[in-house]
Amino acid sequence: MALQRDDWLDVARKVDWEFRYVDEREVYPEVVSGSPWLSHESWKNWEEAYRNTYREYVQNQLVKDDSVFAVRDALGKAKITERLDPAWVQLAKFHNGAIALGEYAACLGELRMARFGRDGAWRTMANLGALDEIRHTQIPLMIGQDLLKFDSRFDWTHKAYHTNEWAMIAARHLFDDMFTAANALDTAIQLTFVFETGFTNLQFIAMAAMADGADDHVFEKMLASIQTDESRHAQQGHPVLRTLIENGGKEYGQYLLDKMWWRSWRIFLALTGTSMDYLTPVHARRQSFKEFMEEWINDQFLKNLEEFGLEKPWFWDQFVEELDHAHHSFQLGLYTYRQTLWFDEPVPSPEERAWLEEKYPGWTETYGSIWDNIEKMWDERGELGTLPYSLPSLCNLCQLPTAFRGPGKNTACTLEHNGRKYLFCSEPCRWIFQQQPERFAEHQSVIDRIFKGDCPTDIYAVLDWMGVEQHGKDLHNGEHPWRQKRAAVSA
Amino acid sequence: MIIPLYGFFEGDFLGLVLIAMPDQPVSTLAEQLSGWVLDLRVDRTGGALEVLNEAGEILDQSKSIEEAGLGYGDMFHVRQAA
Repeated sequence: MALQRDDWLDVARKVDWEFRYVDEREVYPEVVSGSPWLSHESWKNWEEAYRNTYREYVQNQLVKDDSVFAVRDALGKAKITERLDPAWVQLAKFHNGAIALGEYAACLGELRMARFGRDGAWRTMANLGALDEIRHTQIPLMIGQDLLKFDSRFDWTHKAYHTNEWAMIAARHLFDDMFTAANALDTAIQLTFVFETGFTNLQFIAMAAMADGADDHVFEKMLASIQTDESRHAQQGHPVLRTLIENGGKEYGQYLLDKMWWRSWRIFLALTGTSMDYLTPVHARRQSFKEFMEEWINDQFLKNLEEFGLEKPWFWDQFVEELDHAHHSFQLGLYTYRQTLWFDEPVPSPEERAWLEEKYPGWTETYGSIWDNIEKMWDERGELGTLPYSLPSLCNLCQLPTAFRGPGKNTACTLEHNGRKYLFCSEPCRWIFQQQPERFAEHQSVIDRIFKGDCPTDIYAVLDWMGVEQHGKDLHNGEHPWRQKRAAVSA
Repeated sequence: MIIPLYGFFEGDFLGLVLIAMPDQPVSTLAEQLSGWVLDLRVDRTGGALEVLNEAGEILDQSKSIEEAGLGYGDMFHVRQAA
């Protein structure tokens, strides 16, 4: 009689060994498995809530793949530039470039846990996680490939991660810290607990809802399909964090949480915040970025922290304050430096401005006035009047422009370390650097590279160095319908 | 030797990189930064420009950058006086 699933699953997923001729510490070195190093006795109760057999995994993935392929077959041949809002097409390029090969890098993190995770069940889960991340690379690559015939800049789906484009340097810096250059324990907490449990729900579920509203059902299906995998393999973080805390590692757990919360926030406001509030058509915006953050992350994720007796990150007040302004400042930066991007950026229309003021009271006074000036420059001096004359200063931790000030407030600060001055966009970025200066001090920002002579100084040579062959531009090429209407009325 | 400095104009939304010589006057920092920012991203009020170091101390604009205590990688602020 064949064994039933529940008869063998626990044995199979918890396979472990007692080592006779090699020490456990040699099999699971602390430097790769993580600190504090604990014997397997401490890890043996590692359990995930939702268990999968490999057979179930393959069957489930097949069904999910078929679902994506069906939508792709039905809609993928339609010309994207005709069926979708033009700003949304830019969002798809931005998202694909930023995400696709980052997922492939995450495969390294999963495989490290699959080898150096301290319990058989953890390693089993991480194996499936590695397969997930390969899938999360292949699906966007496939869809990006489909779209190349409509817009050649969809080649950034594959290309972006291999370039020196400034936003991609920031993404690589984050992902290296989070998982490609982290041990198994740190990866489980930083990647699967903070980033995936805390933040990627927003990226994949909320953006999928907006894709539905924008009639991009291929994108919607892709995001929703990826999210179901994320929910499963994100389970690794909870039992790792629980084991760490039970064995005296609460302070270290809090540190990893604080660090990666801030770093995840930085990348999310840059990618998801600007995409939701500026690149999504108004009719498709289910909620503002701030509302999503408050509901999905602040409310739901905080319950996770309570479960472990962890505190809110120490910079919580600054984080909450930034919800009202950081991504608006960043959007102005993206627009101003649009030539350094692989997608185009819009000036918000009167309808979008009204929506922004409704969702962020005071937006018009703080940010609308700057957009007014940009429109005025288009009227008086054309495109040249709207382009920057200088490079933005970059944070030596997150590598993003120092563009996160609130009204009347600049949060940038410096630190002297080993005779060198470092610039940071904020106190939390400086704090992260100070915790491990040996890890971050030698990384050169684009500005550092220019001053060292590793990167050219001429703006067009810099763009070549970044790999940006087709520069991002104003989405309307400066012919904003509302400005033309105003001009006609005043004439 | 040229040095990079990071300038933040009050009311603007990001810092900018300035390349400077240590012996040039502080006033040139204000002129350069305001030239990049005023009218484009910040409205001109007509107030005189003030230059402040990271600690918030107003710098004497007749002094050189070096004399004013600014060096490689320092940040400074420029604002329009009320």
